[in-house]
Amino acid sequence: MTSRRDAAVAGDAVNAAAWMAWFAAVAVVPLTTRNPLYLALALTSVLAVYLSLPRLDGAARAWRLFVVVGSSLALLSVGFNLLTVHAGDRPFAWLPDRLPVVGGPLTFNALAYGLLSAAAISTLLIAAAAFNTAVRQGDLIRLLPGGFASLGVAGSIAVTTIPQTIASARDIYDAQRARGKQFRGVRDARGILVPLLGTSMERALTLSEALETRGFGASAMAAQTHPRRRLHVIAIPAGLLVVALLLLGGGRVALGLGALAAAVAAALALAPRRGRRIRYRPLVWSRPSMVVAATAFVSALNLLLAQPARGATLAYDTFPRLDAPPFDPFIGLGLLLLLAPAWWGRR
Amino acid sequence: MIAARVDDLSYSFPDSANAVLRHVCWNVEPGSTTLVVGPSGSGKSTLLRCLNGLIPHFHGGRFGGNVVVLGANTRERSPRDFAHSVGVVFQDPESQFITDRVEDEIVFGMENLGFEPRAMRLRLEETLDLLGIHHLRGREVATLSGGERQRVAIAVALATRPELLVLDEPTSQLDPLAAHDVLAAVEHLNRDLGLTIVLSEHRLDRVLPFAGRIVEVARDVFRESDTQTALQAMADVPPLVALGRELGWDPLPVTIRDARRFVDASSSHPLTEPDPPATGDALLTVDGVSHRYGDATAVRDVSFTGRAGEVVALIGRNGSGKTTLLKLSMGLLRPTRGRVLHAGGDIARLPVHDIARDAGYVPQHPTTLLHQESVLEELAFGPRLRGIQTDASGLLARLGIAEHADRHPLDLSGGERQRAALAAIAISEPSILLLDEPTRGLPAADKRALARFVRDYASEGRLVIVATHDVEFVATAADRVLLLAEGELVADDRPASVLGGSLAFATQMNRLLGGRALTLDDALAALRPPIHAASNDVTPTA
Repeated sequence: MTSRRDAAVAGDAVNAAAWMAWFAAVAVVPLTTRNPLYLALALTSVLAVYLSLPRLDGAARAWRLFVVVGSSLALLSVGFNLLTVHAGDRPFAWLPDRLPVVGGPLTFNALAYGLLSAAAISTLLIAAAAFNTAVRQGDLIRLLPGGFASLGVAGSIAVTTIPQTIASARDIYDAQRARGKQFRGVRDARGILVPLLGTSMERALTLSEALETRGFGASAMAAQTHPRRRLHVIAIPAGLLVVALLLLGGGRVALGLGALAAAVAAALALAPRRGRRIRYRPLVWSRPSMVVAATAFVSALNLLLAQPARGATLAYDTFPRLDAPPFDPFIGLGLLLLLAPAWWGRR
Repeated sequence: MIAARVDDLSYSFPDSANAVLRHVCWNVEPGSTTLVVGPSGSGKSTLLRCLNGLIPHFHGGRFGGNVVVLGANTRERSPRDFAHSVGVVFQDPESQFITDRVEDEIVFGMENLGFEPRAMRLRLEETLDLLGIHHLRGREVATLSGGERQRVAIAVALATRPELLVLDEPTSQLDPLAAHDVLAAVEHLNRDLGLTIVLSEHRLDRVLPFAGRIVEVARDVFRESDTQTALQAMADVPPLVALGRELGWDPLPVTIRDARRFVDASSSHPLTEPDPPATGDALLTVDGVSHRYGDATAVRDVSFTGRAGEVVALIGRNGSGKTTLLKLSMGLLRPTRGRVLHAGGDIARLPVHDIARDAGYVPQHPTTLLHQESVLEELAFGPRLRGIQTDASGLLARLGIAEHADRHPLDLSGGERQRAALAAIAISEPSILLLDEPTRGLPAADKRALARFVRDYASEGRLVIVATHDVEFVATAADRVLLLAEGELVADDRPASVLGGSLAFATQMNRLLGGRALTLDDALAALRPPIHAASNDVTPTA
């Protein structure tokens, strides 16, 4: 079976960074506009990209479920919105006033508002699913800067361990039921938790032996043997992070974001140089990758600059009056660029 | 240079008064293949972990003496420093994978050690070629079969091109064909690349052909010698070696080909198979059962009847549906088609805790079942649920783990846990006993005890069903063999017919003597000249 991910091995497919750019460009749309025409264009493009991807392996199947459940919830919220928000200039039915919460006029304004929110959420959901279907988790970890390598490995271990833990929990549940144990309450959970803890501990031990045996952190540790340096590496970014959180909590958003950026920069700068893991298979900027990244960049820039540069209207609201949305053909064209991976990603 | 020099090594784990290893002296010659054998829990894994410094650096404990590996003393270097020169594959391949993809897994070690990308690429390709797993490179680790997983784990250890490869029970979870593939790859590495290999294994029949030296580790015993010397003295040997010892063959055969030259095809007597045991009522009836997991059919239209007094073996390759069939028989899974009957009654509507009154299931991983503070408490659990009195210590003695009665189940070795789990189920004396891979991690002597145990258990009017890869165990314990392939029942007959008609699942004696023998006793009966015939021959000349 050859899949897109195998093609990525050969370097002729869209790489992880280009996919990330595409995902970011998609995310700009629901964050900047609720115009139904723009949202519809974005949603259609994203759906086309998602459907063009082969969705065969385990992770892709899990994301498919995520899309179905997420979109269903978003559609449920449409009904909820319609029944609880009674404002707007286009009522089309009345529920008796004596009913709590839902009583009052039902308006097209509320219906439209709900549908637009659902479209925005679904766009993000489907884009996330497409991104995760197309990109391997291992390649994502490789995008992390060197200083975050251990963080990436921790994430990777979590991803490999979670399914194993779920499988053991199921085995334990079976084994205990076969012993005649019934699970009726919290007290009976001990029968699962104790063996689960036991198996997880053993697995963790084997995994740490494996990490040790395979030289994980071999050079990083050598660079950090000086205890004071080790302290800096953790203390400075952590201190900046605390400052950033305090500022953000106190409403000083700009200063807070600045401190946050400083924390990240410090973490990167102080990360041990020799601890850099050499990346096998560095990013390959094939033509499809460049096309996808470039179109994503243009699309996002087109949307972000539409208002300041050309005076186009992005804002749209269904309250208090429901009007036909404005349409700017340049924005429309820009959004269609998000279709690029559906064509180029398939190569 | 000697690959590894172990000099007066003694070791005891933290919080343990007893030393696992005492004054061990041992040299590993470069390019050799050394097999480490010994009873379950005797310190084989401990010894292997000394070879890259995991002991003492990772585990702590009291460590005496010196271990010098490829010129570096493990006291002075950490396991990370040995990452490029010593490759280690631990017992359970699936819990040592760090990433989710085969390729990522293989390069992980090289990324850590700072290999250049070009070198990494080259090594990756070489490693995939060496183990013949090119087709697996893009796969998710979770989707691999047992044999594939083990070969990937070995590839992972080989990627940094180590000079010493350490394997802890590399075939214990594998079916005979997968085990053969893995060992063939290992032999190739040793023979063609001169890689020094140290491996531990209970399945001696599989690994002896590859072993140059044998190390025996047991309580207060450490012996290192060449294979022939060791085989003369060892207590536990595979049937083929035992046959050679009985009949005075020299050198002792370790492969079927070795043995053939001692066997004269005409000098033996055909195997007379014992009458099938008188069996009683149908205790378990599986009637046209199928089971699907999502899109995949794990068991397809299987029918058989298990009767009181029978030991039925369920054999087949990894993933052929053995475990699924056991779970269906226990009611843990429900058939998508067909019926399962216990003593004539359909169990479809019974909750599992009711089914558990007359059926017992010992899963493949005993840790999933054990959750009490000691082995004795574990044995008290089942009978307490049913309000019955039992003889726990007698049962533990029959299974050879009486001395561990007060220990915590998780402190036991793999083989000991397996038997503790069996005891915890068998103590309630269910009339149907279902065992999933009960011989995993058991040396031959314990396997013989287990075979006796299941025979006795069944002879008291009960049914035992054993899913296993271990054909030698099947030959000595089972009355009947069911062979599963891709979820279908392809054979259901006496052991001699099923095992004798199979290439993959034939016993050593069967491969040597064809249809004339299955077990060591059969072979001895067939090959020893009958006493009356010998005396007849002598009379005329006298």
